[in-house]
Amino acid sequence: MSGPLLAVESLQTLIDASQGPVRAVDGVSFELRTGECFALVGESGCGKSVTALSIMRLLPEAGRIAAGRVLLDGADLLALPEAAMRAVRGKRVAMIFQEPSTALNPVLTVGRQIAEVIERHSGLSGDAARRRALELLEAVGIPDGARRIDEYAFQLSGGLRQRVMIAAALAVDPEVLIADEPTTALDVTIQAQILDLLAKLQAERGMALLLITHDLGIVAKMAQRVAVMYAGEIVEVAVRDEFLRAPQHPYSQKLFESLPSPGRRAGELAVIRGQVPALTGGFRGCRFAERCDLAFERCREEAPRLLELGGGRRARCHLREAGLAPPRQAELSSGIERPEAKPQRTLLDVDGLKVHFQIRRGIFRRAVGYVRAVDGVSFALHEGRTLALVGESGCGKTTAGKALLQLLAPTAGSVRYEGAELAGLSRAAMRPRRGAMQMIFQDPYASLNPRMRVAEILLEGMRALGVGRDDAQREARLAELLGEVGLPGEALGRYPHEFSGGQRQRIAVARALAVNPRLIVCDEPTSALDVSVQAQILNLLRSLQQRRGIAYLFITHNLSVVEYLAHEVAVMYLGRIVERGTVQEVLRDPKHPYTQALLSAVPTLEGGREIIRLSGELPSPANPPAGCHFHPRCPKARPECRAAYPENLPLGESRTVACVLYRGASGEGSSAASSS
Amino acid sequence: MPFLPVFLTTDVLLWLLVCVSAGYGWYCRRHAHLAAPWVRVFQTRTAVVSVVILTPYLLVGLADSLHFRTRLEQVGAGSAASYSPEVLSLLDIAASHLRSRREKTYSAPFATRLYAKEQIELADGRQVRDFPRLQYGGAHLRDEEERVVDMSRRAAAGLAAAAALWILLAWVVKPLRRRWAAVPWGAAWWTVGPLLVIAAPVLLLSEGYHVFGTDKVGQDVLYLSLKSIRTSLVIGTLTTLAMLPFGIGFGIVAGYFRGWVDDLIQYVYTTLNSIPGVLLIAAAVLMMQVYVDMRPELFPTAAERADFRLLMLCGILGVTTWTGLTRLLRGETLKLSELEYIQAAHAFGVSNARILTRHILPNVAHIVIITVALEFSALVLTEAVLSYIGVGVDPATTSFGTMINAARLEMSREPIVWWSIAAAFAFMLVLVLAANLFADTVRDGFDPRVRMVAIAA
Repeated sequence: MSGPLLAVESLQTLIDASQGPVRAVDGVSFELRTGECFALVGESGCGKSVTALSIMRLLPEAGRIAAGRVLLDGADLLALPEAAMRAVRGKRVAMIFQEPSTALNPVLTVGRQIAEVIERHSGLSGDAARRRALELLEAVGIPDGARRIDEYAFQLSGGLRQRVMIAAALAVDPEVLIADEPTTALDVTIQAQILDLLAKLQAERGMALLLITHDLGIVAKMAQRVAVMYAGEIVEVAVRDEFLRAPQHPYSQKLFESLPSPGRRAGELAVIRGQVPALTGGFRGCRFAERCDLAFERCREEAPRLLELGGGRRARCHLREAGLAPPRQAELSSGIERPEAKPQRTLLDVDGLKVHFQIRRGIFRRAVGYVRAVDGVSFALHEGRTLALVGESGCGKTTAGKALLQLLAPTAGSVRYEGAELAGLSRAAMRPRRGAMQMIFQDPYASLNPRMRVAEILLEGMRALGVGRDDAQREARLAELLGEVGLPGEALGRYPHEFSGGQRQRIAVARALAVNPRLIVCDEPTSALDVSVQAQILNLLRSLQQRRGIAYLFITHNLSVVEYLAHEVAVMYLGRIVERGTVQEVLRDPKHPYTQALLSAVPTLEGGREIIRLSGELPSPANPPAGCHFHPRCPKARPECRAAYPENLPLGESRTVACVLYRGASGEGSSAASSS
Repeated sequence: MPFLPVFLTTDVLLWLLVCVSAGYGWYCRRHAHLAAPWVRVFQTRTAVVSVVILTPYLLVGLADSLHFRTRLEQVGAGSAASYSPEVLSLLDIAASHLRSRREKTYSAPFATRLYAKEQIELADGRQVRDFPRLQYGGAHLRDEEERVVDMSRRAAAGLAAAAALWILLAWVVKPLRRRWAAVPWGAAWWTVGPLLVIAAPVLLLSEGYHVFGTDKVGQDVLYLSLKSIRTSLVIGTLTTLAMLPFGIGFGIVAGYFRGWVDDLIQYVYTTLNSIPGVLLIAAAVLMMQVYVDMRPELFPTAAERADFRLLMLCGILGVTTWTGLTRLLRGETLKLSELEYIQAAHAFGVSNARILTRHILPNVAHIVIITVALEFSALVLTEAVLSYIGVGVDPATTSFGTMINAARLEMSREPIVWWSIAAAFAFMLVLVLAANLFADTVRDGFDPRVRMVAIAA
């Protein structure tokens, strides 16, 4: 292999903030070779995106590159005048961003935006550029490119937009493609499509790919070499397989251990205590020392160097210097299954729940149609158990959760709490029952009122629902509540903005607990958090369940979380539950073709699994396909799928599936038709 | 008592506003998240400079808002104390030399003679038609030739006083400087300098001359300009007070409840917005004027009548300009009420009234503050326009608008009488410019989308 195509040498980028410059990237060096996929991994705020922007010289106004070189084929990009840099961007180094919905200009057609790049960097213009754009659209797998080329961004779905972004980035065959979290905003099935596309294009064109991600599963699938970033520094560099087999840095090890997986069902997830340090001050010792279980005296005194460990491996840790073998903790054996409690009393019974939103048009705002967000969903929640409601975005899972709590009025169906009907109750009649059912929201930054102190936030629910006799009694409970979620008592007097994301989510949990609920709807409570923090919250939720016997309805798209926390799973597709059963049944032996595809699309560390590719995108719930909603995308579709929506077929005592494939097998247990 | 205090309604409201602002400031100091945007504001040079410029306006306006009637000389020993029917303010006393020295008619700045020829009877009984000497302006000069020397002497004394004050101020500010190190005191000091250099000589010169000349009825224009400041402040602040209840109330109610409430409020403000504003205001002002004229018994003094008109004008402007704020707040509330902490409050069964006051209102407060700051200068200008077309303040009330209105005809005179309009223009321009600059920094400080990152050069 020849010399590196792109070499970053001791890059240092500062971002000016009111508290002084933040050292977002602090002495980062790595190399990217032709035809290689190099992954930069780390949690939010570790400086991986700033590194990418520094290479492109697209830093925000407050940012500046203080030191270092970025060599593209030996020429320093940082020394180029801006005009020359513009010729490099797009032509030699291209970038795709995380959020496809904001990366495209909404008032230009797709074709125009791709042609813009072509016209800028190659001699082509007019019809020739358009023809080239059309070829590109086909190359990135956009069906019916001739029609799509004249459409606008809003007419495309998220996956198609990201494909357009890739097409624009590849317009003039760049040598280096930087992909900054290219699939984070997408659903797993779409993510699998995009990752495949990137891998295919990279192989075809022999370009170098710098992949920035927080997801170790994506690393395992895509990368040849990996660098782990922490607090502005690279702490470990390794070849992928080596990295997955035996990570050298304690931080990398912890990242692996905090991933929820079936092997860890029995125990608690490993947790990295504390949070990423502020990057404003200087560091004396190792940046990870405060959070490291293995830290010793020297770690706090002296900053470690990035040590060469041979075979292209490097790690920034004092432990490695002494040649000590990394004590990677043994995998917890999966032998100890959590004792499955007998099915408990039914707490909440949902039957045929429907939530339809009217689409109104015209001056008289007449209803012209319905969005069937939730279209006949039935399940039951048992005391002290967790039901996971799984599905991709737009499938109606959050709507279903809110309708349970009567935050949205159900259109039809019944929700019975301990036998008492809740659907259709007035605000006032609902109030006495509110205490029993609470909700934890997805975004800890939006779920706490920034103008209220923690104590007021916790007291509000208690006051409204009359928990406790008077304020004195309520206030006495506050410190206890905070202790229960692992926050110090002095947090009461502070405002939400003083806390990190994970701590805010703890406050949200405490707020729900304050009114002694018996059931909590958790709406993707960890999807906005980093892996290590996610582990803290999952551990907390589980220990609360064991102590208080709370039932959870856990709404998520993340199947690994489901494996860790849930007892039962219901998979939703386009407003309906397509498959239901216990965790073991559904995740080990999925029956519905959609569940199978969903499971296979999740990138895992082990890899090597055959991915079932779904064609197309999630249809609109305003206009679902006739018959089985899934049949246009289903690899096993039959003619009868088109005719009518399949009934729920019971397979075994705890499991149902809505698919015609199992019509004959129903009632005979799980030894049914074709499962892969 | 040597005087009888007169509580004009606008005075009371203005001072109430000062108290409320002071209370808000004190409350902010104890709440870090409320203080933070203000801290950001006062760390910018623009804000500090504009505040330094606005402060003298504010002081003059407030001094002009303490009204009283002086006691008249006792006629009979036994009779009850009687007070002058003329309502004076603290400013009138401080600037009594400006107020009392009335010439006959126009005179140019620093002039010693009138601007119009008159028949003058000379000592020997002959009559000539010439520009007569002013009664007050330069009257202390024995020989008009000395005027330049006298003026220079006064100006030099003024400059010396300014320099002394300036240096004294640097010393006084020192402890403050240590207390709030982040405030750009340098910018403040360099703004105070020019202000003093202008103000001190003008003050000393005004003792002997009409610095800005006199108007048609011989009133000192400098005095009129100072008196106009209060009117502008009253219009700029009290109008927003009248506007806020409508703006905030309708805005958040429409955004939160949606449905027919939203439709109704939207129809109301869309309709209101479609009526030409000046027309609506003119109609309301004329109706109010008729009411005032029909009830002379309600207003014992002319000052009280004029004050009532001023207050009503604020009210009328307020109820016709709330639509902009309502529209902004409705949009913001629509967005907020979808947020998860509002949903969480619903999940606790928190009442609508509580959600509106505890969750929505504090989170739209920045928009209200920004709007109030931006509206101020717009309202000052509106007053000038309204007074110009004759539907503004009472003719007895001095305002920039009435000054411009009075000066308008003289613009077509030959030779031109320019000083009246120039003085009004200069005073108003500086006020509005400073207010606008301040409003800009307030918007930047409060707007979460504007990242105020200081880039080290």
